[in-house]
Amino acid sequence: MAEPRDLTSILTVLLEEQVDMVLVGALAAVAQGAPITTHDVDVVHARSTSNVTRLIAALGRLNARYRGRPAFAPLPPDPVALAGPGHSLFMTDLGPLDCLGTIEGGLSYDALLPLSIQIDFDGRPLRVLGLETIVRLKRGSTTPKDRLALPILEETLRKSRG
Amino acid sequence: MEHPPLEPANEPVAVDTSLIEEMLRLSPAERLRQNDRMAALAAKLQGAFSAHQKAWQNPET
Repeated sequence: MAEPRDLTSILTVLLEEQVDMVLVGALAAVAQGAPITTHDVDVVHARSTSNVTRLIAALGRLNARYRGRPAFAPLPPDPVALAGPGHSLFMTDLGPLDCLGTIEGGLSYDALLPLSIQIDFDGRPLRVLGLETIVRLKRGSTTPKDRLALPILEETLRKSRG
Repeated sequence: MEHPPLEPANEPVAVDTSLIEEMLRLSPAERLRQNDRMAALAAKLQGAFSAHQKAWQNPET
Protein backbone atom coordinates (compact mmCIF):
# COMPACT_ATOMS: atom_id res chain seq x y z
CA MET A 1 0.00 0.00 0.00
CA ALA A 2 1.16 3.50 -0.82
CA GLU A 3 2.64 5.42 2.05
CA PRO A 4 0.46 8.26 3.30
CA ARG A 5 3.31 10.65 2.55
CA ASP A 6 3.37 9.67 -1.10
CA LEU A 7 2.24 12.95 -2.60
CA THR A 8 0.79 11.46 -5.74
CA SER A 9 -0.86 8.43 -4.36
CA ILE A 10 -4.50 9.12 -5.25
CA LEU A 11 -3.67 8.56 -8.92
CA THR A 12 -1.03 5.97 -8.08
CA VAL A 13 -3.50 3.86 -6.09
CA LEU A 14 -6.11 4.08 -8.86
CA LEU A 15 -3.51 3.00 -11.41
CA GLU A 16 -2.14 0.24 -9.18
CA GLU A 17 -5.64 -1.19 -8.95
CA GLN A 18 -5.84 -0.97 -12.76
CA VAL A 19 -8.90 1.26 -12.75
CA ASP A 20 -9.94 2.23 -16.28
CA MET A 21 -10.40 6.00 -16.12
CA VAL A 22 -9.69 9.31 -17.81
CA LEU A 23 -8.31 12.21 -15.79
CA VAL A 24 -10.53 15.23 -16.50
CA GLY A 25 -11.23 18.66 -15.04
CA ALA A 26 -8.81 21.28 -13.85
CA LEU A 27 -6.03 18.86 -13.01
CA ALA A 28 -6.06 17.50 -16.56
CA ALA A 29 -5.72 21.08 -17.80
CA VAL A 30 -2.91 21.77 -15.31
CA ALA A 31 -1.07 18.69 -16.63
CA GLN A 32 -1.12 20.34 -20.07
CA GLY A 33 0.30 23.60 -18.76
CA ALA A 34 -2.75 25.64 -17.76
CA PRO A 35 -1.76 28.03 -14.94
CA ILE A 36 -4.78 27.39 -12.74
CA THR A 37 -5.13 25.76 -9.34
CA THR A 38 -7.40 23.03 -8.12
CA HIS A 39 -7.98 21.12 -4.92
CA ASP A 40 -9.46 17.89 -6.17
CA VAL A 41 -8.82 15.04 -8.57
CA ASP A 42 -11.58 14.40 -11.14
CA VAL A 43 -11.79 11.13 -13.06
CA VAL A 44 -14.39 9.63 -15.37
CA HIS A 45 -14.30 5.89 -14.76
CA ALA A 46 -15.52 2.97 -16.85
CA ARG A 47 -18.79 1.78 -15.34
CA SER A 48 -18.45 -1.92 -16.09
CA THR A 49 -18.93 -4.24 -13.12
CA SER A 50 -15.31 -5.37 -13.19
CA ASN A 51 -13.97 -1.82 -13.29
CA VAL A 52 -16.28 -0.63 -10.51
CA THR A 53 -14.97 -3.54 -8.42
CA ARG A 54 -11.39 -2.36 -9.02
CA LEU A 55 -12.43 1.22 -8.27
CA ILE A 56 -14.04 0.16 -4.99
CA ALA A 57 -10.79 -1.59 -4.04
CA ALA A 58 -8.80 1.59 -4.75
CA LEU A 59 -11.28 3.74 -2.84
CA GLY A 60 -11.00 1.37 0.10
CA ARG A 61 -7.23 1.81 0.17
CA LEU A 62 -7.72 5.58 0.12
CA ASN A 63 -10.33 5.41 2.92
CA ALA A 64 -12.78 7.25 0.66
CA ARG A 65 -16.06 8.48 2.12
CA TYR A 66 -18.77 10.63 0.57
CA ARG A 67 -18.37 14.35 1.06
CA GLY A 68 -21.21 16.30 2.60
CA ARG A 69 -21.62 13.81 5.41
CA PRO A 70 -21.05 14.44 9.11
CA ALA A 71 -17.68 13.13 10.29
CA PHE A 72 -19.34 10.80 12.81
CA ALA A 73 -21.44 9.08 10.12
CA PRO A 74 -19.20 8.41 7.12
CA LEU A 75 -20.72 6.56 4.19
CA PRO A 76 -18.46 4.22 2.20
CA PRO A 77 -18.44 4.11 -1.62
CA ASP A 78 -21.55 2.52 -3.12
CA PRO A 79 -20.93 0.25 -6.14
CA VAL A 80 -24.46 0.85 -7.45
CA ALA A 81 -23.94 4.61 -7.45
CA LEU A 82 -20.53 4.23 -9.09
CA ALA A 83 -22.08 2.13 -11.87
CA GLY A 84 -24.46 4.99 -12.70
CA PRO A 85 -23.96 8.21 -14.68
CA GLY A 86 -23.92 10.56 -11.66
CA HIS A 87 -21.06 12.12 -9.75
CA SER A 88 -19.71 10.54 -6.56
CA LEU A 89 -17.77 13.13 -4.59
CA PHE A 90 -15.34 11.66 -2.06
CA MET A 91 -12.95 12.83 0.59
CA THR A 92 -9.98 10.49 0.99
CA ASP A 93 -7.04 10.36 3.34
CA LEU A 94 -5.03 11.97 0.54
CA GLY A 95 -7.52 14.65 -0.50
CA PRO A 96 -10.74 15.10 -2.45
CA LEU A 97 -11.53 12.75 -5.33
CA ASP A 98 -14.51 13.04 -7.69
CA CYS A 99 -15.52 9.85 -9.51
CA LEU A 100 -17.74 10.90 -12.40
CA GLY A 101 -19.92 8.43 -14.30
CA THR A 102 -20.39 10.98 -17.09
CA ILE A 103 -19.55 14.63 -17.67
CA GLU A 104 -21.01 17.44 -19.78
CA GLY A 105 -23.45 16.23 -22.38
CA GLY A 106 -23.50 12.74 -20.90
CA LEU A 107 -20.00 11.87 -22.06
CA SER A 108 -18.87 8.56 -20.60
CA TYR A 109 -15.47 6.91 -20.28
CA ASP A 110 -15.96 5.18 -23.63
CA ALA A 111 -16.76 8.48 -25.34
CA LEU A 112 -13.83 10.30 -23.74
CA LEU A 113 -11.22 7.62 -24.38
CA PRO A 114 -10.53 8.64 -28.01
CA LEU A 115 -10.34 12.28 -26.89
CA SER A 116 -7.67 11.52 -24.30
CA ILE A 117 -3.89 11.37 -24.38
CA GLN A 118 -1.94 8.55 -22.78
CA ILE A 119 1.03 9.61 -20.69
CA ASP A 120 3.44 7.62 -18.57
CA PHE A 121 2.78 8.22 -14.89
CA ASP A 122 5.30 6.42 -12.71
CA GLY A 123 5.63 3.67 -15.27
CA ARG A 124 1.89 3.21 -15.66
CA PRO A 125 -0.31 4.46 -18.51
CA LEU A 126 -2.59 7.33 -17.51
CA ARG A 127 -5.25 8.73 -19.84
CA VAL A 128 -5.66 12.51 -19.65
CA LEU A 129 -8.48 14.36 -21.43
CA GLY A 130 -7.02 16.57 -24.14
CA LEU A 131 -6.98 20.32 -23.54
CA GLU A 132 -8.94 21.01 -26.71
CA THR A 133 -11.82 18.88 -25.44
CA ILE A 134 -11.61 20.43 -21.97
CA VAL A 135 -11.93 23.90 -23.52
CA ARG A 136 -14.84 22.77 -25.70
CA LEU A 137 -16.68 21.36 -22.70
CA LYS A 138 -16.00 24.41 -20.54
CA ARG A 139 -17.35 26.69 -23.27
CA GLY A 140 -20.71 25.01 -22.78
CA SER A 141 -20.61 25.30 -19.01
CA THR A 142 -22.58 27.89 -17.09
CA THR A 143 -20.88 27.48 -13.69
CA PRO A 144 -19.01 30.57 -12.42
CA LYS A 145 -15.87 28.51 -11.71
CA ASP A 146 -15.72 27.22 -15.28
CA ARG A 147 -16.45 30.64 -16.78
CA LEU A 148 -13.59 32.13 -14.78
CA ALA A 149 -11.12 29.48 -15.89
CA LEU A 150 -12.17 29.48 -19.55
CA PRO A 151 -10.10 32.47 -20.81
CA ILE A 152 -6.96 30.98 -19.23
CA LEU A 153 -7.65 27.57 -20.74
CA GLU A 154 -8.33 29.06 -24.18
CA GLU A 155 -5.10 31.05 -24.10
CA THR A 156 -3.13 28.01 -22.92
CA LEU A 157 -4.57 26.02 -25.81
CA ARG A 158 -3.79 28.78 -28.31
CA LYS A 159 -0.17 29.10 -27.16
CA SER A 160 0.37 25.35 -26.93
CA ARG A 161 -0.53 25.08 -30.60
CA GLY A 162 2.32 27.48 -31.33
CA MET B 1 -29.92 0.94 2.94
CA GLU B 2 -28.92 4.58 3.02
CA HIS B 3 -28.30 6.12 -0.38
CA PRO B 4 -25.10 8.10 -0.95
CA PRO B 5 -25.34 11.78 -1.81
CA LEU B 6 -25.04 11.95 -5.59
CA GLU B 7 -24.74 14.92 -7.86
CA PRO B 8 -26.73 14.64 -11.10
CA ALA B 9 -24.63 13.88 -14.13
CA ASN B 10 -25.53 16.81 -16.31
CA GLU B 11 -26.09 19.57 -13.83
CA PRO B 12 -22.70 20.66 -12.48
CA VAL B 13 -22.81 22.13 -9.02
CA ALA B 14 -22.35 25.90 -9.16
CA VAL B 15 -20.36 25.90 -5.93
CA ASP B 16 -19.11 22.64 -4.48
CA THR B 17 -20.08 23.29 -0.88
CA SER B 18 -19.10 19.77 0.18
CA LEU B 19 -15.52 20.47 -0.86
CA ILE B 20 -15.50 23.74 1.07
CA GLU B 21 -16.87 21.99 4.15
CA GLU B 22 -14.24 19.24 3.93
CA MET B 23 -11.41 21.73 3.54
CA LEU B 24 -12.66 23.77 6.48
CA ARG B 25 -12.83 20.60 8.53
CA LEU B 26 -9.07 20.11 8.11
CA SER B 27 -6.65 21.62 10.55
CA PRO B 28 -4.34 24.36 9.20
CA ALA B 29 -1.47 21.86 9.10
CA GLU B 30 -3.59 19.34 7.20
CA ARG B 31 -4.66 22.03 4.75
CA LEU B 32 -1.04 22.89 4.08
CA ARG B 33 -0.23 19.21 3.51
CA GLN B 34 -3.16 18.97 1.11
CA ASN B 35 -1.91 22.02 -0.80
CA ASP B 36 1.56 20.43 -0.96
CA ARG B 37 0.07 17.20 -2.28
CA MET B 38 -1.81 18.97 -5.06
CA ALA B 39 1.22 21.05 -6.01
CA ALA B 40 3.40 17.95 -6.16
CA LEU B 41 0.80 16.06 -8.15
CA ALA B 42 0.44 18.94 -10.62
CA ALA B 43 4.23 19.12 -11.05
CA LYS B 44 4.47 15.39 -11.61
CA LEU B 45 1.67 15.43 -14.18
CA GLN B 46 3.25 18.36 -15.99
CA GLY B 47 6.56 16.50 -16.11
CA ALA B 48 4.88 13.38 -17.45
CA PHE B 49 2.99 15.34 -20.08
CA SER B 50 6.10 17.21 -21.13
CA ALA B 51 7.98 13.92 -21.53
CA HIS B 52 5.11 12.61 -23.65
CA GLN B 53 5.24 15.67 -25.91
CA LYS B 54 9.02 15.42 -26.33
CA ALA B 55 8.78 11.75 -27.20
CA TRP B 56 6.03 12.49 -29.71
CA GLN B 57 8.01 15.33 -31.33
CA ASN B 58 11.32 13.42 -31.33
CA PRO B 59 10.47 9.74 -31.70
CA GLU B 60 14.14 8.85 -32.28
CA THR B 61 15.30 10.05 -28.85
